[in-house]
Amino acid sequence: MNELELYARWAPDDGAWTPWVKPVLFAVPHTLADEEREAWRAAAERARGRWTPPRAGDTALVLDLSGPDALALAVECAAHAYRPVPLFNSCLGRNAVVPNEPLRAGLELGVGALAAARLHRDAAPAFVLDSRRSQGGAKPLMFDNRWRVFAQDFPSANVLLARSIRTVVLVQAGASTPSTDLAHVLLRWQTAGLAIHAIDLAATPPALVPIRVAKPAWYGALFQRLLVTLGLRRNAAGGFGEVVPDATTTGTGFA
Amino acid sequence: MSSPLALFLPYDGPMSDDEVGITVMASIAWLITAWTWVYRLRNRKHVLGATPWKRALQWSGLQAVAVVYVVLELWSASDARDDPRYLYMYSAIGGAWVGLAMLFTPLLGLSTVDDVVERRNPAAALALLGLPFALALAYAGGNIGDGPGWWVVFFSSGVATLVLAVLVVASLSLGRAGESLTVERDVATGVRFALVSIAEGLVLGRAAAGNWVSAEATLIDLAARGWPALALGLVAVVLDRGLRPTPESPRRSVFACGVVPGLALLAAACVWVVRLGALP
Repeated sequence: MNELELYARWAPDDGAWTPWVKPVLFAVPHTLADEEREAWRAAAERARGRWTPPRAGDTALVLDLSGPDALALAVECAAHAYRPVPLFNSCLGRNAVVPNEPLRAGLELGVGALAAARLHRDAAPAFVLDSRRSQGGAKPLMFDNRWRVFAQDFPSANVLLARSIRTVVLVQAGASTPSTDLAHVLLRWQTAGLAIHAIDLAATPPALVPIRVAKPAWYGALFQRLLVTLGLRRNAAGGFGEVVPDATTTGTGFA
Repeated sequence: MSSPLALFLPYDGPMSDDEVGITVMASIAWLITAWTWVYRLRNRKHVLGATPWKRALQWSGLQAVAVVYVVLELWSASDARDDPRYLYMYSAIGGAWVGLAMLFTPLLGLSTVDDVVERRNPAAALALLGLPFALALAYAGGNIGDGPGWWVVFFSSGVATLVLAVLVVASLSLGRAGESLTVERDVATGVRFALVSIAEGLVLGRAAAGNWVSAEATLIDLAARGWPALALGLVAVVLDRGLRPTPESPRRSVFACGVVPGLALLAAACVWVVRLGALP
């Protein structure tokens, strides 16, 4: 299966949420290693029975978990009639700040289970994020592929409401409040009348609770996205990811 | 003109040192901003293939300068329109003017890279297509009429452009068109925003036109002839809010909510400009 075919499996032409699927991670040719298969199998095993989503219909999921765990849970949710919508907006690279190889492998290895779910084109969405997206620090010569999400990366509240989505469930592990970038999205949805619930899978026992999303800094400001992207490194092929230059080895001046 | 070389060499002839300096600086700024604009679009490739609107956007800056050139040819002061060097100088300033202004669009939440290329958002593309022409009209108007030099063009066009920027920001923030364009991806808002921006640029450009008397007189003229731009801006904000996508209608009709109100406001602007009568 080539990259475009793989993308088409996750983002079918007639899918209701296809315009929001991020293509950058699909675009890189990738050869699966044995350890990646093993890691995906372990992630799928962890996801199995970890959490049962509410009955699909008027609920959308936002899975903000660590790397392959988010994707594996999304594939599990597909069995409950949720359409996984991968929003990974970051590239692969050597010596990367955010290791995306397990995610890329998961996209390839999870496609069978996704096909088996036989999802309807209008299936409720399960937006998939990597909670490690802005973690870590970049040093010179590292591939800085940290990223953030923006309101523009998700369907608007109007689109969700038009598709009869009334509730959004934020799924995290080890956190009960949304990350700052996600708060910009969730607050827009909450303001428009969607109910926001959160569940911390690391809690014992995990409980679904309604939350009030706190207003993040620069919420609604026209320049908020510019402000955030100033600290990130873009990739020419889309998304984020670029090698951090080393001042001692680059440049064209005299030594 | 002393020699045919004067066509190409701005220092051979009556151009003053400051005019030569402005021409050189404007040319450099035009080149850099145009290159930045085109390079940003060319360099970003969507992994799924061609991006709609990308080519149109790449050329929009040049087309906007063509609008400036036509206005200069038709209505600028006779000493400017009869001298290719001055035609070039004011066109280059126009190119730099539009180019520099467009670099600020990400500050307003509209980005060619983020919205047009990466998210393939046609609404944002349409909005960004309208802005260079609105800016070109606002700038070109300041070139119409007799005046002592380039600095009066900077003043007249600068005030017109500043008012245009305020109206655009009002539409994006108070009218929440920014959300409709980038989050809702509402094409109707994109069409309306582009047409209304052009209408505002037209009115403000016409208001900035005229023979130079003084800065105070220019401001009074701008207020007297340019107030319909504020009215257009107010109507645009009301329309932006009233015609926002809703859960019942997440995709507004492009024709009924975009083309019709946009053209109606553009027609109103044209009527006002015609009503003001012949240009000086």
